[in-house]
This record gives sequence, C-alpha cells and structure tokens, in this order.
Amino acid sequence: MSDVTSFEEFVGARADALMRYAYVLTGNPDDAADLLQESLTRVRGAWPRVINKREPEGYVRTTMARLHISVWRSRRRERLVPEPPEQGYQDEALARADGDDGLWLALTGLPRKQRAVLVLRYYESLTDAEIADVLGISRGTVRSQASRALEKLRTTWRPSMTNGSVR
Amino acid sequence: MTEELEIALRRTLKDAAERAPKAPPGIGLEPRARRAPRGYSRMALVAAAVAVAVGGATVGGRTLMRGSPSANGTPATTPSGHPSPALHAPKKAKVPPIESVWPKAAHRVPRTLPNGRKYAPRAFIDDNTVLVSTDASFEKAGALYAYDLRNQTAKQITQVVTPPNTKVFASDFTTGNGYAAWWLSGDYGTDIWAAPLSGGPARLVSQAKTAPPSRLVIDGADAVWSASGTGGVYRAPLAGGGTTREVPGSRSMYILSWPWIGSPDAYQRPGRQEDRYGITAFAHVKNVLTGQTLSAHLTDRAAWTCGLTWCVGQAPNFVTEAQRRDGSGRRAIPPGEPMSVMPPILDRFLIALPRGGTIAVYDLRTGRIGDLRIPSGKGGAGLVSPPGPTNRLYYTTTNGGYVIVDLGAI
Repeated sequence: MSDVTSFEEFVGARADALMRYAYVLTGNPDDAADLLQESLTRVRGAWPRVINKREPEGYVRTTMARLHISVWRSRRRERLVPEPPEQGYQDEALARADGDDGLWLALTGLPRKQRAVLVLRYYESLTDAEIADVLGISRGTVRSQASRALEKLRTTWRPSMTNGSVR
Repeated sequence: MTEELEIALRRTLKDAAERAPKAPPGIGLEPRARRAPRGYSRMALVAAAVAVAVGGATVGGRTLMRGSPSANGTPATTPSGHPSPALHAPKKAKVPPIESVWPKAAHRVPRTLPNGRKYAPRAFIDDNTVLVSTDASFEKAGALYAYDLRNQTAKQITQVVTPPNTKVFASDFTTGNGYAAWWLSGDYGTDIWAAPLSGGPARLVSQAKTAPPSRLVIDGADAVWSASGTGGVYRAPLAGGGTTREVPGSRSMYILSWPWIGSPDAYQRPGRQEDRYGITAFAHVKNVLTGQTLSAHLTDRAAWTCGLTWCVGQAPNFVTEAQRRDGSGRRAIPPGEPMSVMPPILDRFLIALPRGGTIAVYDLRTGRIGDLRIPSGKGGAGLVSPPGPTNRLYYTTTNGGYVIVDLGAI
C-alpha cells in the first residue's frame, strides 16, 4: 500500500477482507458491520498518520481487535442479553451444514478476549508475542486466555469422524 | 486432541470468513461529515475559543450548519415532516481525564479485596459504598461484598447461587431499599435473586418464564423488571417466596427509568443503522405511578434513542446529535459516536468513543467532557458499562487497580 493511498481507496480495496475479519471476530454479520464501521470511523481521523507510519491494514486490524475486546464489548453484551445465541443463532444451520463440529457455535460462547486471541492465533496466524502486541496485553495473558478458550471449546467439541479434514 | 482442535479451529474460522457477508456499501466513509462550507471552520474555532475561555472542558453547544438541505445530499426529513438542516460534525473536542474534570467522581482503589480476592465493581450502594462481586470461577460471580471506597474495606453480603445449566451468570446487579438484586438464566428460564445488603443468604425472588430482563430495578419491597424482546413489566417481592405479577398496562413495554416505562426498547430495533431511521426508541413513555405520558417530537432524521429528557441519535451523515423530547436544545455531540444505543445515563450523560482510544463522558446538561480512560500505561484500560441508564457506576482497570467512576457524583 503506497503512502499516497487515500482512505477512500483503501476502504474500497480492502472493505470486504476487513469485513471477513470482523465477521470471525464478532461471529455475526450485524456486529461485524458495526465493528468495521466503528473501526474505520476511528482510523479515518488518524489516516495521514496511519499511512505515513504504519502499514494501514495492520493498523486497521489492530484497531478492530482492540475495539472488539475493549469498549466494544459493552455494546455487544447489551445485545447478547435480549437475544442469546442459543435461542436461535442465525448461522446455526449453516454451521451445522458445514460439518464444523459445532465449533463456530461454540465460539459464540467464549468471552470476547478469548475469542479474539483464538482468531488472531488461528485465523491471522500470529505468534503469541504478536497477539500480545495487537491486543495490548501480556504474553502470559495471551497464553492463559488461549488455554482457557481451548479448554472450554474442548468440553463441547466432538471431532467429526465423518469429516476427512479432522484427523 | 489439542492439535486436532486447533486444526478444526483454523478450518472453522476460514470457512466462516468465506461465508462472511460483503462489506456494506460506503462503510466507513463519511462523505459529508468532514466537508464544511467555507466559513464554518472559522466559526467553529471562534465557538471553541469562547467555550474554552468560559469553562475549561466545556464545549459550545449548537453547531448548526445553515444552508440548503441539498448541501447534504438528501434533505433531512423528520418523523413529523418538518425538514431541518443537518448538523455538521463539531470540531473534535479535547477530552481531559475525568479526574481533572470531575475529581469527586473518580475513586482509585486496588483491584483486590483485603482478603486478597480479585473483585468486580457492580453498583453503588451509597455514595461511599460499592457492591462488588468475587468470582467463583471465570466470570461466574461467587460472593457479593459491600466495599467501602474510603477505607477500602469489604464486608461480605452473600454467596451467589448459580444453579446447574446456567447459561448467563449473575448479571445486572442492582441495589435499592436495603437489597441487592440480580438475575441469571439458563435451561431453566430466568431467575431473579436478591439478598439483604445487611448480609444473609440470597433468596429466589422469581422463576420467571419470561425472557431475561432488559432492566432490573428495585422499587420498594419488590424487584421489578421488563422482559427483553417481548416487553411486559413484572414485579415480585424481594423477600422471596412471593408471586410474580405483571404490572397493569405494561404489555409490550420496557423499563426506561423506573417508574417510567415505554416502547420500543433500544435493542429491539433493526441491527443495521439504515433500518433504524424513523424508529425512535422510547418515543412514548409512561409513568406507571402517575399515568403521566411523554412523547418525542424530534426535528431531525436519525436513529434516535430517548431518555426521559434527552434523545440521542446518529444522523445519516454519522453526526451524533442530541435534542430534548420537545425538539429543543439541538446539538451535535463533540466527542462523536456514542458507544451504546442506551438512553443517556442518569438522563444526562453519554459515553462516546472519539478517536485515539478516549472514552468520553459527555454531560448533556453542561456540555462538559471527561475521559473515563485514565492513563494506565501497559495493559490498557478496559471499560465496563452499567447495565442500564439508571446505573451510575462505570469503572476502568488500570495497572494496579480500578478507577471507579460515580456519574451520580457529578
């Protein structure tokens, strides 16, 4: 991304990729759109600084991850209460159809910091040190959050014997 | 096993990303919010200078952009049909730390109780005492304490009972009339619990067949709550063992700020911003004790959420606006987008997220702004929001402890 890229050009080129990231972070389309909107609104104001000093997409993704685990959680929580995922999560059928062992659903039950750590580790393929940097937490916290999350997922996860991609 | 799970996770996340929806057109772009007619900037600068001269963090109120509606693309229309020029985004305000703006509102306390247990602040009991909970396990409330902010001592109130198959652990702690009340839900439905603040076992107040509460409050000797999603206001005695009754005339209504109830609830509206225009949360409210009713007569098109006095909304040009129910006092909110669709807290405060990681508290009554996020160095600051617009407690975490903010002390 060259340093002459305008914010509009950047968004035009990367919005869908960022939306995918927002979707795996949040777990549903509405929150994903809200998270992306909020993150881009914040990044927009800092754009001259962002394109001069940092790789813009990395900056945006960091903003999204941090926003998601910090203040953002309050809004998310407020939504969760009236409409708990177990009462009709819209991706349920899809997740089942995908034969993903219910993991996508199980992820909705994780606290958001744990989910973010897993997304950064297994979707973004970051190291624990990089995750610590992105989320602004210690490496020890990354490890403990990840192990708590995996432990919790393991309680409900049953590897699908019929699915060839799970060995 | 772990390795298998990790492989499955990678695949699950990748699959999910592939079926993610496309980004909504124009997301993140505010084509009109930043383009001001010539002269506007100068005007704003003058206004800002005046405001600074007058009162430190105070920010000037109205930033009305006069001009033809076509300057804003689509003319701003209103629910009542009276067009009104769009507000221009105000100059971003400087947001000083809350401790310097409202020193009496911020309490710095350690993150552990004298017995060494970590705790979470939940609600104010009185000006100097906070209801706090310790965890039985991760995010699962174990015991409740009354924490004294002055001498940093804690007195245990009760143990939180968490029935088997609980999905949502004890939530929305509220205090009043010598009681603490909370709810949890699971396969068994929704349970409302309470305990006397003077100490004693927690009592089951109601095994409601309703959806989890959108709000839970204490009124006299009763716990009162509204069911999320469906509405309807219910009450049951805090002492436990009593019957749950529906409040007459409360069908499809939600608690705004007791004894005021209304509809629709802020969280009932469509998730997408575009779909929310024209739907005003708590447009109509009623005082269940006196029968008095209030309606909103707003002069602008936005996704509005009303409190008792003030309504807050985001206009299609992403400017956050506030006006009173009668349409007066119209202004753009300097710190930007509110983080929540919750009505103004205590009928006067908005929490907004300006750029740069600030968590701004904006006082609609005075125009003053403070930053809730007290610099904490490494580790960042988290923010925990109150469950409802009547809860005055916010807190942020810092390196060594908490900063508990009492909006009621402002």
